[in-house]
Amino acid sequence: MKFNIGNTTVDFNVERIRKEYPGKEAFFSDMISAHGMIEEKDFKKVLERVWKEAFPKNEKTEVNPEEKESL
Amino acid sequence: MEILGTIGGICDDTDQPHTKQSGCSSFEGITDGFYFTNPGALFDTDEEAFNEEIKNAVYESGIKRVIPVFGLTAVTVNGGDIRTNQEGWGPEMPTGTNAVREDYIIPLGGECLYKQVAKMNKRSMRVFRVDQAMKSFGTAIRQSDEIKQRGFLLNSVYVTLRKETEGQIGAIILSLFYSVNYENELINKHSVQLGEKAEGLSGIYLEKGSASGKAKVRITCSGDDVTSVYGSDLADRTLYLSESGTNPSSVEYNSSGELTITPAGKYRIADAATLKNAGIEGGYEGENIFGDIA
Repeated sequence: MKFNIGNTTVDFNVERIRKEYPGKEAFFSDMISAHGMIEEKDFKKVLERVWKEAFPKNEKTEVNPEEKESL
Repeated sequence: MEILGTIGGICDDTDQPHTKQSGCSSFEGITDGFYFTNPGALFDTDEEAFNEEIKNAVYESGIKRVIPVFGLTAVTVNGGDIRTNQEGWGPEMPTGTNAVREDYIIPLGGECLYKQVAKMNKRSMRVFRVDQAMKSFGTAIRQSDEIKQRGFLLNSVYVTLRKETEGQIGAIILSLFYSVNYENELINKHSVQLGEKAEGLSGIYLEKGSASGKAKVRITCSGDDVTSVYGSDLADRTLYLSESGTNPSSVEYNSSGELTITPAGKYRIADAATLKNAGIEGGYEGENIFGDIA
């Protein structure tokens, strides 16, 4: 997912974020500290969108059809 | 007494030479450059298809990769002489030709080009010669029901460097050692008119920037910084690979002219095709070097 924030362009790897970050706080904290030149308020809005893409709300509740059959 | 058995003739009298001389005959012209390929690479014989294949093959990985080298200014040919045998007072009997070696001079490109072409030293490759009229010359081969073409087989390539002296400019000397099958390949020579020259690639690598996680993209030989040239196009996670082959979590380009890559670690830049697809035109390829930006 690519975003332009002012003079800055950031591309996020949603798959890797999904695998590596157990929680939103750790993700936000790492990203804000690494991308320190971006205005924090705008960046947080972007991070929210990335996090939602990585972990859509219905993903946790949706049951894989194959698993459903075996239940 | 009856005579049984026959000895098959070795002269193929069905293959008649047809020798009418065209009013518009042509020979392969002065060589301006080469397209080197892997020994197993085959290409279309059709002009349009071949031009397209060559243009794309510069960016291909693996067996289809083509390496262009242009700007030749002189050649010395050795070998290709008729070998003969003479028994007693009998006539000389030709037995074939001896192996051919060509030494080409490249005055442009300097030490940077030398470092790159020297990677081909001792390699067996194939070569399409391209003359000054932009015609490529290779050899045709039948594969199943199709006629394909490929470059002439080189047993090896060897590149040496001549430094400047008072009376002579510096140059790269590119020596081609053709295989023993070269004579047969010449009989099946195939020529295609080329549209435009495909240029070679430049190697690039990541170098640590002003702090941990910050990086710059530099050209391997000159060390020139091209980060700001491509700017936000470089903010693309698919262009960077860790030692385990994964792309980073995020990549940022900002007006400071540096990239920020998370997590900080060792990364290399992707291959030529990936860079081209991401809009990084200009013929670059990531070297197989993992730059430590931690």
